[in-house]
Amino acid sequence: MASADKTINTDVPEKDVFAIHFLQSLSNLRIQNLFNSPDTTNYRVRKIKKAAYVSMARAAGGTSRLWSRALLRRAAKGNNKIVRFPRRKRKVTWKISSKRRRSDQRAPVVEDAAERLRNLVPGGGGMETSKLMEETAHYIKCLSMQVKVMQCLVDGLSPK
Amino acid sequence: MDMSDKDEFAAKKRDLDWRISDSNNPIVSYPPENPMSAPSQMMDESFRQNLWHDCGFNVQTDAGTSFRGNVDRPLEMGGWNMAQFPADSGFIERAAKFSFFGCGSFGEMMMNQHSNGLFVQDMEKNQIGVATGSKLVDGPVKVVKENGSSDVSEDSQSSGGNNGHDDAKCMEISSKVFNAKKRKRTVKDSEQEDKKEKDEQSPNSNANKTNSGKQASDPLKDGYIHMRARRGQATNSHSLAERVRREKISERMKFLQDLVPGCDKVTGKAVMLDEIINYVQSLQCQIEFLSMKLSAVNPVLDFNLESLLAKDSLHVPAPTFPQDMSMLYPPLSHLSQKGFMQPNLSSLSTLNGGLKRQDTHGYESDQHNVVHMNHETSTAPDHEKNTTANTEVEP
Repeated sequence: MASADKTINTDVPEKDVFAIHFLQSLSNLRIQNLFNSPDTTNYRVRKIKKAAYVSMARAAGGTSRLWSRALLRRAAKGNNKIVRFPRRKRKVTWKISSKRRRSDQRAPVVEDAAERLRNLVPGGGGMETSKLMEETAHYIKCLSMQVKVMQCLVDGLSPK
Repeated sequence: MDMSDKDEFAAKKRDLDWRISDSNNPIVSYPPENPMSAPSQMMDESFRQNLWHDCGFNVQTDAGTSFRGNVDRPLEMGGWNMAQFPADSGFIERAAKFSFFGCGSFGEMMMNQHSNGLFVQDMEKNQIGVATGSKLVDGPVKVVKENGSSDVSEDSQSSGGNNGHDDAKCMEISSKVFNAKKRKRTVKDSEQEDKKEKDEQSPNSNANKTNSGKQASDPLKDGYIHMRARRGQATNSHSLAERVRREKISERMKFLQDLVPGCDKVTGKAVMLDEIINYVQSLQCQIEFLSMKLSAVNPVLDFNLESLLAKDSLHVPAPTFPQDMSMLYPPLSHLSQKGFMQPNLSSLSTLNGGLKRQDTHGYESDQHNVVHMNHETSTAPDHEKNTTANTEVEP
């Protein structure tokens, strides 16, 4: 759904982009020879889930979104890889702590929910509430797209 | 005659007697029991009868600035024609002065928290006919009937030259969504300087053109937010910034409301935020569940991916995609332009000469397509899904 609001841009790529990225990540997983002798089903599940998230982050715009950057950075840290993100133009950003302190006084209803959202959305800890909402919108779109792709894959692959 | 008219008028007043008190606004509020104690030698009787009788406004310009508007009735200027106004220069001047305050307070009144909801609705529905001696110079402001406005506007232009900066545009309020705010010079404000965003309402630099009624935001060259303090609210820089922030948040919440299914009926921030959080959690759970399912079908997957990625001829934006272009695929130009995978799978179908379901709808259709193809194709080593099915069909 393209955003009609000129201030908020939450366009996500087509489903195909997500599909390609996901399949690619799955193939990478396979190349690592994990599936021939899986230790536990749980391990495989976790790997697949991680692959799903990473591929989603890449498909959704790589480093142009705050949540995708945080996701990729988190994943790379887990793999002990060093990820370098290209420097973006950034506006003046506030320090997190000062922002938090102030935001606690503002509309506690909104801020409580925003706190919970921050735990859900990757990279939410460093965002102000309004920015958090934008990222949540984009994140929701990408999540739903990824879910569709995976559903298709499962449907296509499941034995009849 | 004076008093009779005005008494009658006062008697018509109902629940919407305004008590306008604003520090910035020099309008003096007076109790309703004393409607026109010292009225107006100023107002022409005819003017009064025409104007005040109809729209129920009362203006006392002896103090120059007291204003009271009765707006419980819809202010439809049915028979009110501006042409009836006497072209009296003195009157024009007074009317212009009045309109300034009328606008100023009117605008603020609408946004006043204590304002009657009815009033706002009325305002929105009907065109408010405030005595517009002010300059209705610009196009978008058409409060009164257009046929009648030219008279007064022409007259007033000569006189009401320096009549406050926002009287004309206050009329915009009536015709548009009421969002009048008082101008506040935020450039001097250090608090606001830190918010370098251009998305909020911004007044033009020209003092004569206030877009107090406009909703569209003009990006300022300096990039600051220019906010107007609403009537009756603190003009503290902190509270202004607060309001800006709150409005941004509510705007984004509206956007999110469209995104989350089933949030149309929900009103209120708290419930909607809970819905949003639940939705995100459910999506994440779905992903986890599907990944579990995928791991269950995984052995099948292995054969898939190899073949798929070895033969993928798609021009994918992913740079690391294996570029083993296979010649098996026909040029995809004639196929749907919708996406990458679609033409791929559609081409598979044409290759096999099987189902010609070149759907362009979505991925699902191609998936089904693939599954169907499996039954027909005998040798299809280059189809990712086909190999899957093949391994299934031919154990």
